[in-house]
Amino acid sequence: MKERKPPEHPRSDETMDTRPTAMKKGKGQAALGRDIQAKIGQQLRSYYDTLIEPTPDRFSDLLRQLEKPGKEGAE
Amino acid sequence: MSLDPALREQILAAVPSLRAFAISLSGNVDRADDLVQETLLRALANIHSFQPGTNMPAWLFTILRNLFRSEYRKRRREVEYADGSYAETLKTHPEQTSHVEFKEFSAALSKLPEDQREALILIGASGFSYEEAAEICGCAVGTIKSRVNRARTRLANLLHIENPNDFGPDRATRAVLTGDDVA
Repeated sequence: MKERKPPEHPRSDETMDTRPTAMKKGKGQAALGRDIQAKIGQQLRSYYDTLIEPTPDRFSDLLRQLEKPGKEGAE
Repeated sequence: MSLDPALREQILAAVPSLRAFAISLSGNVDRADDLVQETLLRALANIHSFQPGTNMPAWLFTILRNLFRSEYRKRRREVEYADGSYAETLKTHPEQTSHVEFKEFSAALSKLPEDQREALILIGASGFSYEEAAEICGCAVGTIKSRVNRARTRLANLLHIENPNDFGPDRATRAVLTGDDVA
């Protein structure tokens, strides 16, 4: 009688003939592999970083203006 | 109305990311700036309802997101999501990301359903936790998780990321290797 080894975690070794992580969830949407997720994450962050700019003056001015006294009853 | 300087600092510190979020949602820098302005005005008008010590960025993102949603519902088809051409209007230009890559990514992002796009950005770019994102979007944590997963899967398809080796910053090298023309 052969002793059955507990199944390896799919992502522990890519040389093993295991089901790709994409199949883990069965029907419906597939889970993406880690490396693909990492790539998308990296792209997303660099996209977002491109959008980050120093606060435009109009916003700091707006906040400064509202800080001045004598503007009671703003509602 | 006078604003506590500490709160003012917190608000100002959140603006760059808030604005990036607004641009990601609307695909339009001018609309994004209007959204940020409106968000700040609402925040200031309701600053008494903000509890000091709690999460200022999450509070501001919630306001902006709700504003965008109500405006979006009103306009729906009237305003079209931009295709990334707004990159030209940005002051800081991408160094590490090529312009083409930026436009491609932006175009792919624009094809995602609204709820998936916002979830993906909040989690993957704005740096919020799943719990915070759930609060910002007014839904369950599990809903955010599944939206993020669906968004990633869709983006992988749209950007043709199937094998990590197919996907790198060096398109020219890839083109040479495969014999394709560099567009």
